[in-house]
Amino acid sequence: MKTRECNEAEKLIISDLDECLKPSEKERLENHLRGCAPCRQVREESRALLSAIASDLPEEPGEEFWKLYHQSLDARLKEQALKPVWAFWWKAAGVFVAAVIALVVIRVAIFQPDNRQIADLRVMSPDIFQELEQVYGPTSDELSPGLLYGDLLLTVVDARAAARLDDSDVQWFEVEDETGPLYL
Amino acid sequence: MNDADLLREFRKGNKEVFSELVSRYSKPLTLMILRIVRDPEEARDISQMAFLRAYEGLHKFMMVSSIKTWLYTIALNAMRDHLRKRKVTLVPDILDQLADPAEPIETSLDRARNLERMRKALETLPEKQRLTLQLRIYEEMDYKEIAKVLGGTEGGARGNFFQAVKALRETLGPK
Repeated sequence: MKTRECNEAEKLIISDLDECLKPSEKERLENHLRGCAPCRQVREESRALLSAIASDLPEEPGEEFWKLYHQSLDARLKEQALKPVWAFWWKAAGVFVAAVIALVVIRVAIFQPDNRQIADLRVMSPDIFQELEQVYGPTSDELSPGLLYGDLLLTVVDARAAARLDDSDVQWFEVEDETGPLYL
Repeated sequence: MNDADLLREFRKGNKEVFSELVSRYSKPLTLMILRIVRDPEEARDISQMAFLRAYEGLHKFMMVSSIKTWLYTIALNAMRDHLRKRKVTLVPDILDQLADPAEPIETSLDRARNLERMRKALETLPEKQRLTLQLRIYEEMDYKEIAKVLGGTEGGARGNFFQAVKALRETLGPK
């Protein structure tokens, strides 16, 4: 049965075979091994194993291998030396494409008109829409980012707040014309 | 010209000195890789990849370690990437080792079987344990150097070596 000393001996055995054991440790190990057959077996197995691994070396390649090695490495290095110019333009093109995609995604995700909110507002406050249509004509179908009345852009500021207001509270429409934003 | 001089020259723009670095380290580096991957073509490719990466990064190299250690680190990283991709098989040349006419066929077969078992057992080791064992045995690196090229501490590398031998002995022990 393995004892605590055996566990310690196993570490010392491997260190010993690895050639880095202090003389005092070596003496302690030898003392243990004299009276412990299983640990002697561990030493023999470990020695055989390390020796088998050390001798299992692939054959070294010949002259032809090294000649080809240097030729192909030279070619690859020359190819790489030319690469930075290409790499720069590819990187620049990549950044440009990524920026365009990001803008499209942001445009679609963030500025998507909420038709449901605007439809709700039409039901809640039809008078205001009628007045706007009388002054500015019918709305454009392009609702992003709000309703377009001729040159005016009507943006919903907060539909929930709007639902709680009556027609006299009209701050919830922000209207922008050529002179800049103004509030109705 | 020592490595530090080579580096200085390279930074000044004299790219030709890189070939001196290649002639100094290509053989030991490629052989180190070959002993682990056991395929000359793959060893050549990985070794060249390491030199290409070194060429790219040499102007940023701060000499905190030796160029040799730095090159070994690059090569080992390239090799680890490669081994992870390829699903390693380290046993292809075992039959070649049967071709010893002076040996009885039973002995050759036994030896080949044992070798196959050993290589398969090596493959099952965690990567860091396996590489520590191989660098220690094949390259005779000390634990400090192994820690530098594989990452980690000297004590950790020593522990990995111990665990590798213990695991292999338990796997390959008498059945």
